[in-house]
Amino acid sequence: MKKTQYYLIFILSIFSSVSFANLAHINNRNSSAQEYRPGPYVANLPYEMQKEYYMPQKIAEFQNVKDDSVDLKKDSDQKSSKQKESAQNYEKYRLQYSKYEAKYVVENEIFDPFEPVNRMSFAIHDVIDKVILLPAAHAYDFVLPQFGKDIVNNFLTNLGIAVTVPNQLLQGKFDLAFESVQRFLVNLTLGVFGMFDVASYEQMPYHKEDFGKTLAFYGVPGGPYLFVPILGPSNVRDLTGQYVDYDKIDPVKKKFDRAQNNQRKFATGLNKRSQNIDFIDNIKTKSIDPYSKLRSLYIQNRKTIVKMK
Amino acid sequence: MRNIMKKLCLIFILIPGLVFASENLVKGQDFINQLSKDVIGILETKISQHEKQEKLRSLFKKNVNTKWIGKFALGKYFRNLNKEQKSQYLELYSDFITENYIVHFKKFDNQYVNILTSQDLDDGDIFVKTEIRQHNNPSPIKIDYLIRFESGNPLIYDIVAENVSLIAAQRSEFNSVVSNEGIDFLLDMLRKKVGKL
Repeated sequence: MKKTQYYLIFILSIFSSVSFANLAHINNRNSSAQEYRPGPYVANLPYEMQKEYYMPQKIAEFQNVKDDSVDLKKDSDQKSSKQKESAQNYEKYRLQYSKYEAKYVVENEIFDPFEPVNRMSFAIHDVIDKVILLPAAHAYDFVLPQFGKDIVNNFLTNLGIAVTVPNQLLQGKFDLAFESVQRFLVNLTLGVFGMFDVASYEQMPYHKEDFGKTLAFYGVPGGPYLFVPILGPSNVRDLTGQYVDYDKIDPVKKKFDRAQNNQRKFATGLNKRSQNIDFIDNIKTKSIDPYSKLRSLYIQNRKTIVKMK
Repeated sequence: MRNIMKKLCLIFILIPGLVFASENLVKGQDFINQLSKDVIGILETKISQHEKQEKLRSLFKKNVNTKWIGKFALGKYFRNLNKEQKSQYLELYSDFITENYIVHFKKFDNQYVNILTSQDLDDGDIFVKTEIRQHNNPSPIKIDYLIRFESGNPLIYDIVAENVSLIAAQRSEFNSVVSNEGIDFLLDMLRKKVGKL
């Protein structure tokens, strides 16, 4: 690079910084204009609603109505029915599209046509949980020290990479698949057959993938919410994904015989339940309707996981 | 000379970013930082469990806009309540949400809070992202806060723990309860949960 080019860049950068500073200043001054800017939640709205949200003309129209409605409060006798209606419309619009209301979409997205059946299987699961799962988890919690539980968890998580890698490849995430294989090998060798999670301490985070996520990656929607006893909350897409992962993809399953696979399933369930004792206890005791609370938690969490890269 | 020029260019390119980072962003981060320090301070002091909970309760009610969250949680049904029911509901809800949240602080094991980033949501609201690092556990817990300034004072409007928004979950739950069982049932249940019945 020549000296003159440096001077040019130098002048340009000063110019840009000054202009940016001006822009920021202007933005701060006209803060009322920002009132209708969408927050990040608008991205959750259906496309049709988003399109409407971005229509500046419509926003301006309603903004004008807003000013009218403020004046109308002073002399309410002069309210014409048309103005009244537009003021109401504005209120409706504001409620519908304001940022927090946009978050309401999370609730609208709850698609639970089989609610009665789901509630029934939730009740069945509750009984099974009380009689078998929770006592078993408590026993497991009591018998094994934290150290032992960590070993079991690490070992099972490391085996889970066998499902993650094929799914990462299916989604074309080759770099992540390479990282996962690296992680698996590090934990297999340095971590003594995956008993110690060395990789996490070496800044190699675990990216979990499953076939439900792969389906979502190619645009398959979640479908109706399902609650299956023992397996827990899910939806049609992710339940299918779970089956495909276990039956078709998992190479570890093919290496083990039937008894070993059952042992692994049992250990996975026990490990998961013992990790969630407090969490599930909180939902059961503290919330008014545990079923709908769990549904909301599952749908919100799953939605973010599916969106993550 | 070239190196100096390079550095100067970098500084001038960075300046707009600094200008954009509004005062509120810093205020929001400081607010959360101070709040987490206060909470950890309470948990670390050697007082009885009951006193700790009492202190946490007052801290929660002071810094979280429980009234607004209560209104949001009930959504369209809030408008149908009469004045007495409204004030009753909001009072009950405030206690309910506080009790629900205080439970999470039962077990304290030398966790510490990292403030990661904060975002300006265009209309003066701040979104502060934090993580709670746990002893002996490499994976942190993600907790984000939505902050809004009311006459200069920051207040929390939403807590997003592990991708789950508190207000959205509450709204979903309450709407389901009210549409299935009615508002009186909800108020009764709230009373029961808070322990006033």
